[in-house]
Amino acid sequence: MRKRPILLILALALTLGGCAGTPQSREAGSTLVVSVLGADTADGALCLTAAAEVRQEGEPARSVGTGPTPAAAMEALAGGGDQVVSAAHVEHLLLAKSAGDRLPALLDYAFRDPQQSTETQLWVVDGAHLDRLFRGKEDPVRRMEILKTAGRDRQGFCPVTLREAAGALAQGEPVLLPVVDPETLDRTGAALYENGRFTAWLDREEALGAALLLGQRIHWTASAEGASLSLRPVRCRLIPRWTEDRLSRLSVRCVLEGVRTGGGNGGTQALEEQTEQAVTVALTRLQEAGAGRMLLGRAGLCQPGRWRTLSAQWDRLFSGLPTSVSVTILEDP
Amino acid sequence: MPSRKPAPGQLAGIVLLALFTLGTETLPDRLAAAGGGAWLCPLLSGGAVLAAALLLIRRPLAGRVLLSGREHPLGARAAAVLLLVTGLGITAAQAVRVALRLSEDLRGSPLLLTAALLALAAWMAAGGLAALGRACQIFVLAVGLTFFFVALFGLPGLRWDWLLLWSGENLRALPRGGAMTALALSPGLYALVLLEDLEGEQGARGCVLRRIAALFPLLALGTLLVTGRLGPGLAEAVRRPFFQMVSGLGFQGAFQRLEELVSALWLLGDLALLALLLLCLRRLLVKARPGRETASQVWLLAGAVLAAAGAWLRWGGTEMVVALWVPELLAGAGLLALAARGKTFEKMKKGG
Repeated sequence: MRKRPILLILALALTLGGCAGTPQSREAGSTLVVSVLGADTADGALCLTAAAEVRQEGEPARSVGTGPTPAAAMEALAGGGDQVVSAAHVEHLLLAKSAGDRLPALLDYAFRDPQQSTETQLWVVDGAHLDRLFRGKEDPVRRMEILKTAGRDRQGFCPVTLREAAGALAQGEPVLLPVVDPETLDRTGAALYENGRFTAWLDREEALGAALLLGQRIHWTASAEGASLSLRPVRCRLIPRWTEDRLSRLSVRCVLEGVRTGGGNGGTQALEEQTEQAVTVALTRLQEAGAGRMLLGRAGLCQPGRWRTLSAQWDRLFSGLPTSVSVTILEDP
Repeated sequence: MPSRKPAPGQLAGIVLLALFTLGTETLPDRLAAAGGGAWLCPLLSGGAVLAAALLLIRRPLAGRVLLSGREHPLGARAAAVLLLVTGLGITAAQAVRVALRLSEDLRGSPLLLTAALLALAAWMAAGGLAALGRACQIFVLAVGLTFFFVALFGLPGLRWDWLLLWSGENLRALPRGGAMTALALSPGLYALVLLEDLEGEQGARGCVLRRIAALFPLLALGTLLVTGRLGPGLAEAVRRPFFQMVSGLGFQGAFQRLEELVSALWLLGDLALLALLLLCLRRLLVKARPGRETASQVWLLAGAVLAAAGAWLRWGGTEMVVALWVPELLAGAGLLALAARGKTFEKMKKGG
């Protein structure tokens, strides 16, 4: 009597074999498992270039697809070669300057297509197009490994994932994206992105200051007066100052921990001044770009009791707000 | 020979599992209007539900309602028919919800998946409440352990400014969010019609209350993880934000993309919900048309649910159906379902 329902369930279970359509179900040899995806524009259309890890000697495996939307470009990319293209584990999305306006569509696509990973790291390439990155024997996957390791170890910057970028943009906040050189793939700074376009470009020093303002747990090595210290922030507070009920100033108080890595004693004060300078310049650039919303939450967490007043005044006053920055380095003996 | 009657704690365990997986999947986007305060809504709702549960256990009101039901069998039967019809719709809506999720993951036909789900749920329900309760004790462990790891990996990446800074608009949305939480979890009220099956035991009241009390903080934690990792704006914009949040968890190079695994484990809770609802529908069917409860009734009801689910998959409108029927459910459940057996409450009161 009980066999019948079991047989029925087993028969119905056969219909659940849904893996047949997914790239993971293919043999590895016939699948191009994309690690790096480049987004560029060509004749007004979105051009996606996919690169996979090279396991043996030879030309790096890649595929190109162009279309008016990310879905169409991805479909063209998947249907362009003799291999199945799996974009389920894309590690890096390289966005050309010219494709900045396509970022919202790319983020939307990543969240709509269950195949796409939302933990893909997002990079801006400091050049109009990406062709130099993906040509000939260039292997962007291997070259991105260095940046990937630096990002994982938070060496001077924090990588931004599609999820983090989409979350911030959905909240109306600008996003700070790391920028890489198209030739060397070295990190050259950061770009501020808001409302479908890049609003400011920050060099490495400014990007470091912005990372501290954002409370990112980075570390870096700095040198001054013959001394060299490995620095990492212990805390970095954005404290709104008030004159009666009006926001009148923004104080930034950063405490860093330093470990001496070379040179003699001293140099701490010079490094404090150097870091203060980086934070001050970054803050000025954010004010010029009107990117206050990026820091609003951090300022609010310093004074949650005044959140409603702060959020009501912040957007209006941030750009012209007087600021003061102080950095203290606590040296680890 | 052990008793075939389930303990109140077992039924509460089934309800906890079923509503936990239902809530984690459906609440985060519905509560997005409360912004960073979305995670407070399940706590608000939980407070109200717990107060109501305490009131029911302490006051013999349920028993009196039951008596009135017995004195007026026609009214009780009409209420049973009403609840049966609404219950069929709600069970179909839940089956469609799960099947649509699976069809996206597996790229299968939603109708076939609905049929498979209902067949599995009917098979589980045909074994009776006690067997379902025992199975769910294992399911709870699997789902609970998975959620523990989801929370463990999810908590470090939270944006606390998205969670702790609330605007006036967010705060005004909290009561509505609390009500939304209660409405989303309202299919669990059907479990009350099975109260008469339970065997009173020492400490039963405390056990039931503990499980009810555990549900809402767990849902608050689930909502907190989603809101803190995706942000209120994105949580509202994406489909199934809980699984989107889970897809971002893992260790690079070790394991990633856990959403399929979690979705598969959450299926245990979904099956528990469907099986529980089928058992409740069978009880209502017997109340509406007195007779013995049989396993074939469960299969018959599963067929009826599949027909309703097929119609909604064809013509849509699942959300609307749920929205329309929930008030009916609340009213009907208060009158009849709760009143299944006042004795149980009395037993639990004595036992606790």
